[in-house]
Amino acid sequence: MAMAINKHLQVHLAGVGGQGVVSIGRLLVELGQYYGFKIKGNETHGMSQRGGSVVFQVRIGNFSGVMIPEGEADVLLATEPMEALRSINMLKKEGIIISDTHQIVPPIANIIHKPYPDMEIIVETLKRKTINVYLIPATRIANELGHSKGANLVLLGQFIRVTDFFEIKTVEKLIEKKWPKFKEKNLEAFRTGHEFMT
Amino acid sequence: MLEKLEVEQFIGLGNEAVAKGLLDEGANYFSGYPGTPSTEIIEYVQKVSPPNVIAHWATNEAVALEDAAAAAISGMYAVFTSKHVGLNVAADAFVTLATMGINGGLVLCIVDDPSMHSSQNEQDTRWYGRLAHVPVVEPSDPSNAYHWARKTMELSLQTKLPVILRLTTRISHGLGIVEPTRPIARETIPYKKDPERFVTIPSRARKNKIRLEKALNQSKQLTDNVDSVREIGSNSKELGIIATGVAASYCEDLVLRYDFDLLIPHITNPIPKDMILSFIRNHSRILIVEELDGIMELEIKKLLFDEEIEITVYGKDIIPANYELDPRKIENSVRTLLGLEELENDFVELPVDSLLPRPPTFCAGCPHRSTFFNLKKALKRADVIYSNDIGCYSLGALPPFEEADSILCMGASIGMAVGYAKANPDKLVVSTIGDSTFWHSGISALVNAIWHDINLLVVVMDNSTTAMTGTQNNPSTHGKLNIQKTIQGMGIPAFEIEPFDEKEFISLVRSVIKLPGVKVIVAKYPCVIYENQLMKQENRQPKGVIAVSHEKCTLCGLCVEGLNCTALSLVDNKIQVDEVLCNGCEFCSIVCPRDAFYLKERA
Repeated sequence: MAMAINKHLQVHLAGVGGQGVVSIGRLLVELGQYYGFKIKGNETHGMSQRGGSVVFQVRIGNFSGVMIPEGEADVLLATEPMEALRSINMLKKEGIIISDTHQIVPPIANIIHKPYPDMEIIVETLKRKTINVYLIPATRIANELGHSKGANLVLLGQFIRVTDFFEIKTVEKLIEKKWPKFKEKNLEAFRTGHEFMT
Repeated sequence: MLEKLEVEQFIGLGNEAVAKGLLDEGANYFSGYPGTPSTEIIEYVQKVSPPNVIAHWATNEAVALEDAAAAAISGMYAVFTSKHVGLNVAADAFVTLATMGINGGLVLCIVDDPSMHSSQNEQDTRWYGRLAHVPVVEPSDPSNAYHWARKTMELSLQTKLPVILRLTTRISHGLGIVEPTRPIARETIPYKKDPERFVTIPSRARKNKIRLEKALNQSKQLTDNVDSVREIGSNSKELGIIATGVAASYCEDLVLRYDFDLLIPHITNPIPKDMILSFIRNHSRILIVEELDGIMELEIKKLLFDEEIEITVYGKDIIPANYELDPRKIENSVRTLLGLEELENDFVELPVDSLLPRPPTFCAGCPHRSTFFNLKKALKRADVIYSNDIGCYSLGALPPFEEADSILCMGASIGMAVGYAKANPDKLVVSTIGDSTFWHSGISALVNAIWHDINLLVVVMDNSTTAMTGTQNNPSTHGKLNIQKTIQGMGIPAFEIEPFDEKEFISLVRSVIKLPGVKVIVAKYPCVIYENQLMKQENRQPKGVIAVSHEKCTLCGLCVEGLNCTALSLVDNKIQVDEVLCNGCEFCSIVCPRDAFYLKERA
């Protein structure tokens, strides 16, 4: 298991209010605690319904500060591609990017009459930072599974596979414990994301 | 040291760590006014709701501090919470209270917001400790916030002074592992009249000033020792860094990798003079790292002058005084001082137009959106000064509404209206204010406006809750007090209307502005977030969601451009509805000229 080698993991999560960024951020924090790591993190408040950008940072390991220094995140986990781009410089060189491909057009686009950026430009810019870019149609997958709120767990599944830091069984147990009501659907989304090959 | 408990370790926000720490130190009375990023302290206490502990919101910070002060004078262990600007509101009570002192304990948890994530300024609360001559305690991360919260209450008990626990956004909304220690139960000290102290007529106030100086001197002795600082390193390096608050945690992450020693004073007023001097004497250069103003720098430089010590001190000449500190920038400052090259960041330049802004907007289904839409439409031919206020409705300042000429401070929408009206007699002044802000300080400003007989339209957006900070209760919640009736009691016209009723709303505005003097429209409808919370609690079915008839839709854009609703977007030349976000308010359906929206059942 990779865990024995890695002593720390810094994850910068980015997305749009209402996408469950804080939920999976909190889950990562709890996972770290379960494994006995020191944990620090920080979260954006008050955006859940207001559609603003959301950031959640998790620092697993022997850290005192709650903020990931710019350019030091091991992983950028984004629930929306333009939000991945907005946070690109938080990532360390050759870090890992995992992002949903589903675009959320900010309502302001229609008011300032500017189009959503070209997806090719987004991907190309992300790849200038690192070759480790994992793009997943997480929202589409979640919708196909009949679990429209489960895209964040699809992404989490991919994150668990790519980073190989936590054991899948432990993550599944925690998902069950945290959201008992939607256990089956959540696990299905998580496993589908885990198996997805980009 | 307190005995460490094996159990009960939890992951918490700094605010939760503070609340737990204060409870474990015997705090039994909490009063405050909600304000990001301070709100979760009282919310935590309300959630765990321990027996014999009172925790409630007050109408404003001044009232909250007066409330907590009386409890502390009555021998309870009281806590006041607010954001930094909230202490401005409570400052009158605070500064005099310091001279009287208290009988039990009183901790003021004040949270500063460097970078102004959700504030109108980034003032540094540590000045208030100096203004009022009271101690200031500063944790450096969410985990040790627990310990320092306890220490702050202890310090208040020892000195009989109100003591400031100064927090910042990254501590309060940072996450860390909290390790509680053994709780203490404290007996409330019975109330005893003491007019010599508590009745501050001038002859007694003069004595109080002397008492305050004695108490602060006592705290100097209490705090200038190893318990109030942390020292990390061998104390043998050439460079010594003195860091406070959240900046200290960033330096802690560097101290193992770089050649410097670190001193973290956690009690920063009065400064632990002896500890700081002995640290400085062991080093040949000093860097002071603190967020916002260079207050430690000022104090330490004064100290060095008094002690006639000559040494190089770096501070705000290399550490920014504006906005929150970035750990990477601190690292590069340290590297420069140590003669190392700055770290390369492999910065990726973003192509032009590759990013759209994503500012927050009104929630889907928010009644304020409709109020601003209606108001703008009703007044499109009028020459209006929009005097806006602090709350969710501050978002009315942004496109497409742009209904804000100014946002100054709580209640100022009405307070400023008098000056606006007198200075601009040819314009119509419209004040927009929420229910919580109205009760907070809008009401006294309204009395002033009526008294001075100006021409003013006040729109109170009453959504029955303090929404901006996460739906705390206020006098409007559950209809405890009624804004329309309260205002009618002042003898001026006040009308109540639902914001989703577009036509009625517009015609009401147009007729009301013809009335002389001050007149009020109460746009009344519950906050959609609050409604959704109630719906879950009461097991009610949510409303349906909006659907679009693409045959009827002519893509006129009025909905997406005019409403800025998070649930509506124009993608691939089609209006699309986000069914997760849509709350089924149907306002898009009301304003659509083609009747292209309809409500369908939620899947």
